[in-house]
Amino acid sequence: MSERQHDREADTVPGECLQDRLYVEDQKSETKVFWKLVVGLLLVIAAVAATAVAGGDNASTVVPASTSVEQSDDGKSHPNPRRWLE
Amino acid sequence: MTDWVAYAAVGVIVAATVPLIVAAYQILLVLGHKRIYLRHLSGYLNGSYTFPNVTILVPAWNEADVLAASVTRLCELKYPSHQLRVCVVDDASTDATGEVMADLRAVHGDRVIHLRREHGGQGKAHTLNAGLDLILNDQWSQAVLITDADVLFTDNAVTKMARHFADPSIGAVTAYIKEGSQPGTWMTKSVRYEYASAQAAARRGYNVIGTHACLAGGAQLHTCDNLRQLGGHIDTTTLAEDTVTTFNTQLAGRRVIFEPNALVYAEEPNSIRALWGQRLRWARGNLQVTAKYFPTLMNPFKSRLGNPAFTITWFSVLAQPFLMIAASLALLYLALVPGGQAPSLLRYLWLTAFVVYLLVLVVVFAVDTTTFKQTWKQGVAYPGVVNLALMLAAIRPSVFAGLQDVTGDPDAPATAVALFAYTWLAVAMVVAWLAKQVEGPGRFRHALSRFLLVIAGYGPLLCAVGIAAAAKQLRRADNTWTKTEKTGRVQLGAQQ
Repeated sequence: MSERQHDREADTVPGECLQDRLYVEDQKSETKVFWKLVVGLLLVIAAVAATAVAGGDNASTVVPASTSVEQSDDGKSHPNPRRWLE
Repeated sequence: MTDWVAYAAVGVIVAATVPLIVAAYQILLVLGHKRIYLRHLSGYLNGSYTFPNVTILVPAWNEADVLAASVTRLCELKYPSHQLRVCVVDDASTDATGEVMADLRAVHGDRVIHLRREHGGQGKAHTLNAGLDLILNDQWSQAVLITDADVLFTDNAVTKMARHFADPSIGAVTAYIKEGSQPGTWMTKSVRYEYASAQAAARRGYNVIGTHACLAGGAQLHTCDNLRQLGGHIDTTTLAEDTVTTFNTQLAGRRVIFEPNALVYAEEPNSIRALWGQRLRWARGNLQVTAKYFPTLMNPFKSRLGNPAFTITWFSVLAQPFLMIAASLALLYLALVPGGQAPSLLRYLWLTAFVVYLLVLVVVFAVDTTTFKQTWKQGVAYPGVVNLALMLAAIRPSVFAGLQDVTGDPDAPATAVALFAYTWLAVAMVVAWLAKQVEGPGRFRHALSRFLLVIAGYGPLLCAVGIAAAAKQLRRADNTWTKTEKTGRVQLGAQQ
């Protein structure tokens, strides 16, 4: 039996050898996924931070406590959601 | 009255970001997958484990074009040949399925079973049940792999799935289904990209929280004990039989697991109309499942399905299309009242969307780099060109501030451009629906429908399907089952 045939035979039987090999394969695969995601997330965080700094972002923080009620021309009270965003 | 409406409008816009935040949360969960997955594998897998006898159950209705390739492939999988057999349930096919099966039996002998139903057309679940009646009543099978006729499994996929049964708490395992049409088109590549995010990424997240929404219909491996505990048959009362099976498995106390390294390739719709039909069925099924399991989903003490992380995810997916419409209306209202601050809220919404959009691109690259390389264009265009422009515009505060200040008066009524920006969330779904409506024979209609789809976006198309599904459910439409046509385009390891 050639080495190739032997490998093929071993692969058709999900025994200890194959299981160990599959485990190592999957371990490598999941480790790659993890690190790629970590690096990608860091890049996204860096991009968001850089944008916030460069763009002078002042309009994405919701602070309900500062909501005010203003009088309009009709004499009625209206909420001013503008303040929520300042 | 006005006060309440204004506050409610702001609340709706904030609520519209919840599905986006949940999507980001699911992506972050993927970070925890490696530890949980490897701990599970190393804890249960060892050489002493005896793999189960597996019967692969293939429902088939007029699948002659694809059956020979898929059954042959199944018989050649790297799994002990004496422990693997294939049962094709022919749902009263009128094509050459009978001849194809006769040829396959001549080659593979008793490893291939051909079960023919004389009266078919009742749907996939009924077809599967005919096969389960046979399989669960013999003592040979220890596990059943439910698949579709067009699905091609990679060499070790079944082994990688079956090894999880070494852990006796596992009742069912699903694989990573990749769209595998060759040659790939814009549509099939869009589906391929979607599957990388919705399966390879989101299902890793479900592994982490320990609760799954749905086993992939084309690759779900159950222990026979699990299926017997579920009554020995697949649910036929809804259009989402896979989801019901998944829910019932977990309600019965067994766990469901996603095996991300078991790869299978399937053919998915190549036209907007076919995709619409398929997703309409899925979306209606999910609404039916929601109605059926609502108390269970809302009770965190009763079962895994009440896990708050899972419940929030489940409902945010269902609610997203409606929240998009509600957010558009809320923005429109705030644009028309003095000091409504619609531009700032629009910017808040789109900045959130943009961050999630980047996260999805990153996670698809991380979990399936091959697919990312093949489909990055579809990934970039996924939200639609207009939405992409709005997201990019949101980066600069001055652009959105100018929407209301364009007349020089901050309290002036919104301009036409502003109204377009505020309502596009909802209008995009209409344009996506139009893309489906105009699709038809001829180059012009094909080009127009693809143009509209790129403008509106694949994501809004799926949201439009969600709205259509709700409308059908409200009309109490029949549970008609439209089969997705398969043409045999799928190939293993699609590289285009």
